Amino acid sequence: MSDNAGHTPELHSIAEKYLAALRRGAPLADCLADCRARYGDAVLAEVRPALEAALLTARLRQPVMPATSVDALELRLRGAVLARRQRAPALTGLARLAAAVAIVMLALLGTGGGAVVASENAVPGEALYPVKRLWEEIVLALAPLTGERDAIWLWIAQRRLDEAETLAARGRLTPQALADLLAAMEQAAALTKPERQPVLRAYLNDVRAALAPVLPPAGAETTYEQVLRRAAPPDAAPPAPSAALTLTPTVTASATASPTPSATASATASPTATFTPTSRVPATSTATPLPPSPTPTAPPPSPTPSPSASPTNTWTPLPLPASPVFTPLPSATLTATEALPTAPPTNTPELLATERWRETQAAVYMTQTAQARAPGVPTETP
Amino acid sequence: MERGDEQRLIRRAQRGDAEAFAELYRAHVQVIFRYIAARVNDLQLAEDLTGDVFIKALEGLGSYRDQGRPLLAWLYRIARARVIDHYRQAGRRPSETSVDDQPLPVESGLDAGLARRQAAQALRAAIAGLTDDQQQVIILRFVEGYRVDEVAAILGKQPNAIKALQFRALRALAGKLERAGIDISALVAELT
Repeated sequence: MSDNAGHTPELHSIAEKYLAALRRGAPLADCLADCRARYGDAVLAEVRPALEAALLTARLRQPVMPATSVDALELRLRGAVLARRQRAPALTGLARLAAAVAIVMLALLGTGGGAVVASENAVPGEALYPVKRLWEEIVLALAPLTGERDAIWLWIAQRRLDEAETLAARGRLTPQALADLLAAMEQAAALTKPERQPVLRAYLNDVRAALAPVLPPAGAETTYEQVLRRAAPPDAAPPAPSAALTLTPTVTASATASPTPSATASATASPTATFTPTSRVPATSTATPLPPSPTPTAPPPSPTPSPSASPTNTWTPLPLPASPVFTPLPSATLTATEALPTAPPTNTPELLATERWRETQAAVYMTQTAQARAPGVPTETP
Repeated sequence: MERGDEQRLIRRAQRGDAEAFAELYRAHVQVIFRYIAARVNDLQLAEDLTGDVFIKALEGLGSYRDQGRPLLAWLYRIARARVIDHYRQAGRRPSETSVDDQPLPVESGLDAGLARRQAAQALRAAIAGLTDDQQQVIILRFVEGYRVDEVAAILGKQPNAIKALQFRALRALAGKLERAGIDISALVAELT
């Protein structure tokens, strides 16, 4: 704490000197005594309140964003990343050609086309399930040609729900299957156009009804809760039996389909969507998802609940306890020697749920779609 | 997060890698949330604005260029702009939320816990009532624990300017607490 002789630093520099000393662990009383001895009572009167205010501020317990809100926002962001990629020119000419060739090859090779047909009812863990997912990727890759990505994602989301139901009936519902369902549901919700919101609402109600009686597998509680929350947005009306939805996709590509490639195969799709007493979307073999044109009978829902809707979010009182329980001056950038002497280690929240979610999510659509589509580069500036 | 790791994640995220962006998000979400919460003094609102910040970051990531400062500096700038924008839309400035408007005197005879809670509330309100620049420095220095040079790098100012800003902010905080009836010397003595 030495100064150059004959030169009195500015008050803010004096204050910073003692703030740094406090961070290194010097007692406040020692800092104040030193300040009085070096600069006199007048300077001390100026510096002391600043040091005390700094100490109090550093002792404020800091709020933590609830893990549920963190997870919900992460889902929203993942959906936004995917949506942005799909809004961008997703396929180069070469990629389109590759996708078309893949379809033609599947059609030409009897076994390939047959595999696609046979894979329609496959569920995770079965030999043909990868074929089913590959077929979805091909359909997604062709989405730029049809301009109906939202309908495709609704179709995929319905397939995930069918699989989850099948697995649950067999007692084999896994965290991964739930994660797949949630990922597809999130993507469908992110992309669904306003005119198809009733379809989305019907689908979310289906998810809710299907999963309500299902006990989640061990370790999947968080994902399960995410699914249920997504399926029951706070402002969503209960499903009306007479307004449930049936999508009737038309088969446009199958094992027997003409090898005529690409756009024409998908472009001939003539989607229909009608409201019937049943809300299930039949998983028609080898069907290309068809853009439904439902007649809305209910107001558009808010399919993506705000992360702030978490019931755990409360503004808790923030006392200033004297005990170390108190906390925090901390951050990843602080070394132990820099912390105020009475500040205990940081109570950084462990986002266990997020970790679990990351583990189960990593292999799903993000990686698969990345292989199927060229990335888009956002151009906006914040 | 190491700078090299962060730069690699940024490049992946710029190419549309959702996992990379999610990782950047997880690394910074709590810091940004604390920053906003300290500025708006409302947790619910802080969650909403935090979401806006990361959506905005995602939208702007394509044009983000590393200028030798951590990504967090960029996120702070977005958060700051979002908070200001929020108050502009709400028709008032954050500095209007002053502890002077809602004095929280420490009544004699109250138990220590309540007195401290009141002091904490008064302090939060006082922080929220600082000027924009003062709030930034106080939060970065004493909530997040950055050094002066780090704060200077984040805010793009000279260290000496940060020290001056910090001193004025601390004096303003002390004054607000005093006017709210908080004896900060006694409180500090009790806590240390």
